[in-house]
Amino acid sequence: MTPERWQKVSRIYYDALARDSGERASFLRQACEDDAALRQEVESLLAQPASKEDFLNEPALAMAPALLDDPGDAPLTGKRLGVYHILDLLGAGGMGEVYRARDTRLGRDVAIKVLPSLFSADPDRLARFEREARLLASLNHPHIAAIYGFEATSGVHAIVLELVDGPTLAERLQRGPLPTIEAMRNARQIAEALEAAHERGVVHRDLKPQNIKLKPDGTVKVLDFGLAKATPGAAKGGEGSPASTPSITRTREGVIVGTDSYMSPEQSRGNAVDKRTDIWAFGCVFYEMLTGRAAFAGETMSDTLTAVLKADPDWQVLPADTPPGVRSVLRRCLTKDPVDRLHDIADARIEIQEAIAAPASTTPSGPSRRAAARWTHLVSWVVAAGAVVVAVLVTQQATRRTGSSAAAVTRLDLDLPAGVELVTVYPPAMVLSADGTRVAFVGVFHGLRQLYTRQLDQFETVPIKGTENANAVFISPDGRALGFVTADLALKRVSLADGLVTTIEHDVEFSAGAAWGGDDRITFVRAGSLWQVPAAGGPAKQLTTLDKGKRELLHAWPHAIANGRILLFASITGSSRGASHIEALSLPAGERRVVVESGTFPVYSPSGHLVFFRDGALLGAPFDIDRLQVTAPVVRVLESLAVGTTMDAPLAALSDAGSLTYAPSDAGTTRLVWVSRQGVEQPITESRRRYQYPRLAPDGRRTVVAADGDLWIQDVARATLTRLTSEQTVGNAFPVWTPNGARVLFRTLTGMYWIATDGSGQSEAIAGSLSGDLPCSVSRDGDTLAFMRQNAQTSRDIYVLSLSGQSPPRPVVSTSAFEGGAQFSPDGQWMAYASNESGQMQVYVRPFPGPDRRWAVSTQGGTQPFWNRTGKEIFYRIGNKMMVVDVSGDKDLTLSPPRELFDQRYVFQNVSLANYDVSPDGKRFVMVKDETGSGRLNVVLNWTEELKRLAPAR
Amino acid sequence: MSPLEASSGSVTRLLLAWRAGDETALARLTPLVHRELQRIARGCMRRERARNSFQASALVNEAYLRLVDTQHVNWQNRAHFLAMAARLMRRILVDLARARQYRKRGGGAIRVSLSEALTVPDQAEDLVALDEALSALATFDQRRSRVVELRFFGGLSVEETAAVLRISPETVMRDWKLARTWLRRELSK
Repeated sequence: MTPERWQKVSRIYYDALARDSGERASFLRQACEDDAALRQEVESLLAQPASKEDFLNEPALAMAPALLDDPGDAPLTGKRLGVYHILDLLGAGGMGEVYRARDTRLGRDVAIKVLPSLFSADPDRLARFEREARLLASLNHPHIAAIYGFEATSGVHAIVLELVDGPTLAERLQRGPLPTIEAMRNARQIAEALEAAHERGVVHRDLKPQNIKLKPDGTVKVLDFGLAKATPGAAKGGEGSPASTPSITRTREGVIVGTDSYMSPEQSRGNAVDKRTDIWAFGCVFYEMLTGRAAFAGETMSDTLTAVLKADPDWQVLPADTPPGVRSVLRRCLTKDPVDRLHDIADARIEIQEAIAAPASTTPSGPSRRAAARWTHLVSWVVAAGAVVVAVLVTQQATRRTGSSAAAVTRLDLDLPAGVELVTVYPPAMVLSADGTRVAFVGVFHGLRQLYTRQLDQFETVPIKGTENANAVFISPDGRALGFVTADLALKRVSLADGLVTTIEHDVEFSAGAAWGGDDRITFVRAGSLWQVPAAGGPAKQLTTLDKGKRELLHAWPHAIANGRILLFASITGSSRGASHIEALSLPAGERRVVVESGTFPVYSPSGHLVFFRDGALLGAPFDIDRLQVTAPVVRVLESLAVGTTMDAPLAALSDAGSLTYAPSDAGTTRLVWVSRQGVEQPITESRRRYQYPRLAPDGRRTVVAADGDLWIQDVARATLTRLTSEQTVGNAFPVWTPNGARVLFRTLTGMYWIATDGSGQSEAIAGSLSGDLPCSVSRDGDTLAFMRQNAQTSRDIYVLSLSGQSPPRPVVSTSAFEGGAQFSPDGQWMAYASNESGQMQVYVRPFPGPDRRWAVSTQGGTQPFWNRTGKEIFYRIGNKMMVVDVSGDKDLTLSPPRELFDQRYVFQNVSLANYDVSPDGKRFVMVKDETGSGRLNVVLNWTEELKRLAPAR
Repeated sequence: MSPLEASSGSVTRLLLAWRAGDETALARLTPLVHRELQRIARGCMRRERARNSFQASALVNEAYLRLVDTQHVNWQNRAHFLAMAARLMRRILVDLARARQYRKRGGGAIRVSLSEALTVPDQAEDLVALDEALSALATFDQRRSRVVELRFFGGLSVEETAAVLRISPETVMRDWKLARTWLRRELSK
């Protein structure tokens, strides 16, 4: 259509419209003359139904919600993020969406803030954001909503926060002002939160009623602390704009109130802000609590800003019972010029405290009172200063010590805290910081496995929160963070400065170590191969592939050197026991080179040596890092150190500065003992080994037990041990007898196997088994095997499979919680198991194969269940206690309350699988007893000096 | 300042830069507005659930308050400004619709009427078609095309549209009526 023709069309259209419908036909005939197309065009327009007047009447923006409701982008609801099950969307805040989520591990609800991919894609912003959030995480205060940690997995970056119940102050204010006493109580708590933050140099910057939560019990929590600044890109480039999260709410009167209402004058001018900005906002919030109206508000943003800059709040509307001290606090908080404003929120807090303590009208805030308060302040400051002096002295001593003994080899013993066992299953179980001042190790206390750390200039060994079920501990090059892999295959790191735990990857092998290179990349093992991921989280990249032709089973114990350009690792092959090369992988080329023909657990010593493990000892040789070659003969450099019970690697660690820590060879060694129901002990084995998972044969005459990567059979009548497993399999553990006693099923590095117990040594892989499966129990008919399998989505679950191959593996108990330790009842009708779905480990029993019902066996927590072979009792453990519950009934179970049998310390090790057995008559238990006392670690400072002597360069 | 917080100031600055011919401003503007829209829309949907009603006008008002700091733009600029904002909205919404349509392709998307806007699950198809029709209209009737752009995409009132285009409100009404009729016919073809 041409503009000219269209003009014609429109003119005739309007004219026709102006006429009655009856006249239109004749008008059109006349107007269009003999131009049929023109007439048709106008007629078709006139024919459009007039009733559809709503066409285009809603602005297109109204469609935005529907258009933006993108299944690929927005709703994480119902999905899983690591251990978090996303429940529902709580809101869309300044940093993206906030969801309510269930922490399936700890059984608590949390809030999760998901950073928009727009920001998480920018490493600078991410790093900055994380740095800030770390600082915030250190703000551990009852009135500040806590930051629990980070999730940085599968491309999603999220902060995990404390979920605070209750309305926001903004919601409460919709109902009008608060009673004066309530307003003062809330104000005091808000002031305390600000005080704690300001002491650490953190400014909130965006304090407003929307950021303040009122819990039903009267506790006030301040949210989003400093996140205004920590928000990615915030304050970046100094655009001079106030770092606030604008939000608009409508008060009851319908006046628009933006964040601008709480913005300090300097903030709204775009000037730099400090803690006095928070003091201003605090004044605004306090004023609004008392009066129910904003201190500064206007019809528009401009009016509001004008009020902030110029107007005084209406002091007349303060309730009559507002104490004079509070009035003065408000005035001083809301002083326009920051120079004249109240400088320290503590002064406000003290004043409010006094006002609360005394009836309003009789509380003149006398100068003497205030002076006293100041004096208290001063005293605490002096005490704090004293502490600083002490800290400085300690530091100086430490410096002097390391300085003067630079070349002296120094040996130290570190005793583990009472009751803490060193976890000896999967090396590396310990690390030493590069400067040799800190040791960390994997310990287990009352069945709870976590990381412990000790600074060598202090006496105390402390557990590290948030590191439950850790394995394969490693340390960052700067020594400020530890990395570890949890039993449910999550790769995490924990900041030693503030305890913030970040999940970096899922589906990571926990028995084969990991390394943090100088390039800030973490190398880990997945499905037997080496992978790498940025320490800050991000996409993971596969580095090696298993060479099936060479029967490679596993690439393990990566060790990064030369700023991450070279990775040393062990390549374990299935050809025979101990068949493991040490190789060097050059990056980014990806070229592999065999460095040592036989050995595991390679580390590079700053003295220029390659140190590795072979035949129960550490070996060393000078190593040319450029040519990746050993340049002198390999010699044994350390004997008598402890070896992992499942993997052929030492319980040792070498720091970048050349100090060594290791567990002595007797560490974690145990004996098997009989223990009666009353707790009377009687030895079974004389020899000490790192025994685990003893299992009595069905006839009760033999015991199979795991130790040092093999299974061993002991005749109960004689004290001798015979090795059951052969060279064919690696990492043998977790034995289970078949009901006829002819075979033992067990775990290997590559999956579950069975082996004949007649001494023929015949063994075979169990069809359908995967690496990581742990056998638990075989049903009475000998056909159904219950086992544990790791699932990326649902953590550890209980599966069953048919040993005759009739049915493939299928899950029986599979929730987002951890389930394990399954044990069939002797009649095969029931299954006892342990689960942490309630937030702590508890023992349950359910019918097998169904229906889907369950009964709680334990009441106060419990794990490692076992049936009495009579089927009338279930035993389980909680800490050092052995508990028993009577079981009766047929279809409907009746369970007695739990009773304690004995309370003695025996080795715990696994989270859910019984590290003990019960005699066929149910009268005594085979327990694993630690014979080495509390356990200890050896530390050798400047061990490399010794190494240089033992393995001199040519 | 964080782009997330799409505070009106920066949108205003970028819009002015865009108008002055800086195409990179648009690249910076789009994600900003996109995110902000998302936020506003989510908020609206939440409130919609809470109150069991949905007010598009509230959304539009809020979007303008947040995105376009009209208070800080002088009067000469204001008309240009609203025009640019409407153009921007159109680009963003149509892009969103196109992306959505692309994802749905093969899923048998059903064309639905724009008048049923908020009650139907997916108007992406229609919005894209409308955009095309509007572009076609612009080839022979620039002014009426702009009326639709300002009113429908920009959410402006008749009076505001009149001010931007420097025509009388009556003319806006007439233009609006014809343009809508023409578009409706095009879309029902």
